[in-house]
Amino acid sequence: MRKILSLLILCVMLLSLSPLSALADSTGFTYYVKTSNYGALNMRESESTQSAIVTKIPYGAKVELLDYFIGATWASCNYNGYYGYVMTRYLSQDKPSPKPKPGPTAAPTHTPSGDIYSGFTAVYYNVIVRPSTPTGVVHMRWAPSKSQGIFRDYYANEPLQVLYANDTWCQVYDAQNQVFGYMMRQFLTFVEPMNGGDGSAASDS
Amino acid sequence: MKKILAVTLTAMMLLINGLAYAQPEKLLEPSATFDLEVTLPEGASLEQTMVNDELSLIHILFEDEAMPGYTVLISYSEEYGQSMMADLTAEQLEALYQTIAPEMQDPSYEMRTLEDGIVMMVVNENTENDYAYVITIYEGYFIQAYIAHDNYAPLTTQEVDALIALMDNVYILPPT
Repeated sequence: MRKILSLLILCVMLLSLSPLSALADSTGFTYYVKTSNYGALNMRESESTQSAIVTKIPYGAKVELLDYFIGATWASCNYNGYYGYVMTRYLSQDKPSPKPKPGPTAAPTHTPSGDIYSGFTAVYYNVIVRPSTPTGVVHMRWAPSKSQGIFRDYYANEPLQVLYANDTWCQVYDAQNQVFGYMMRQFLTFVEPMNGGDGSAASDS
Repeated sequence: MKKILAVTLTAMMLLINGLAYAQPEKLLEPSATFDLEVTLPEGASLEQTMVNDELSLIHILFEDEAMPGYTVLISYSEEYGQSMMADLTAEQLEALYQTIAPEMQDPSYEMRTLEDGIVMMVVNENTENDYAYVITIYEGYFIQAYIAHDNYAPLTTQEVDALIALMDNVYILPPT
C-alpha cells in the first residue's frame, strides 16, 4: 500500500513538471469575440493570417480555447464544432457589451484632474498590454491622468504587473525595465494573479 | 500561394529638413508577408524588430537630438479583412478614430488623400504631451507612422507634415 501511495505521489509530481502543465490553466476556457469594429473574427486553419478561413465568428460569440499560451498571438479554439485558430487580441474573458445602436458618437471626453489618486485598491495581477489597434502604442505616465507626462511606450503583448487599480487607471510595474508608472486599464488584459493576489478586481475592459 | 507585400519607404526622408540621403537600405524581412526598404538620410539610424509574430516595428532615429523619433508599425488586422482605408464609410472612420483616441487628452483628426489615392487618417494629440499618428489600412494591413520627441515636447507643424510625407512615400509593390 505504501509503495502504491509513493508511486502515485511520484506520478503527480512528474505531471506537475511536464510541459502540459503550462496548458493546464489555459485550455478549455471560454472566451468571447471582442472586435473594436463589432465585426466577425476569422477562424483560420493555422496560425497565420495567410491561412485559409475556416469560418467567421460573430462579435460577442463564445469560443472554447483548446491550446493557448498566455501572450501568444494565436490560440486554437472550438466554435460551434468548427476547429481552428484565432488571433488572441480579439478575445476577451468577459462577455463584451452589445454592439451599440447607430447614432451620434460622443467625442472622447477629457477626464477632470481632481484627486487623480482616488479609488485605487491593491490588486496584484499580471497583465499583457493590449492596444486598441494592431499597431497601437500604449503610454506609461508619471501619474494617473491623461494630462500627465508620458515617459515610456508599450506595444501589444508586453508583460506588466498591476499593483493598484481604480476604474480607469492602473499603477503598473515593468519588471524587465524596472520602472513604475500608470497606464489606462482598458489597454491591459488580465493574465493571472501575482503571488499574494487573487486578481478579483481584474476584468477585461 | 502566399501573398507578399513589399513596402518601400523611399524619398520621404528627402522632405525632412532637406537632408542629404544615403542609398536605399534593404531591410530583413519583417514578417513572412512583406519586405521593407528604406532610404535613410545621413545622420539617421534605423532599428528594426519584430515585436511579436504579426507586428513589425521600425525606429528611425537622428543623431540630432532635436529631431523627433519616427516609428513605423505594420500589422495585419483581422477586423478589416482585405479592406483599404478608402473603403471605409464615414461611420467606420469615426469608429476607428474613437478606437485610437481614448488615450489622448485633446485629440483631433483629419483625413488626407495622397496623389496615388491612398487615404490616411492623421490623429494628433493637441496638448503639452504631444505625439501624432498617421494611419492607413492597405488590404487589411495597418500601416502606422508615429512621431514623438523623447520628452514628448510639442511637435511643430513641419514635423507633423514630415510624418505625412513619410507615408506619402510608402510604395506598395507587387509580390515578388
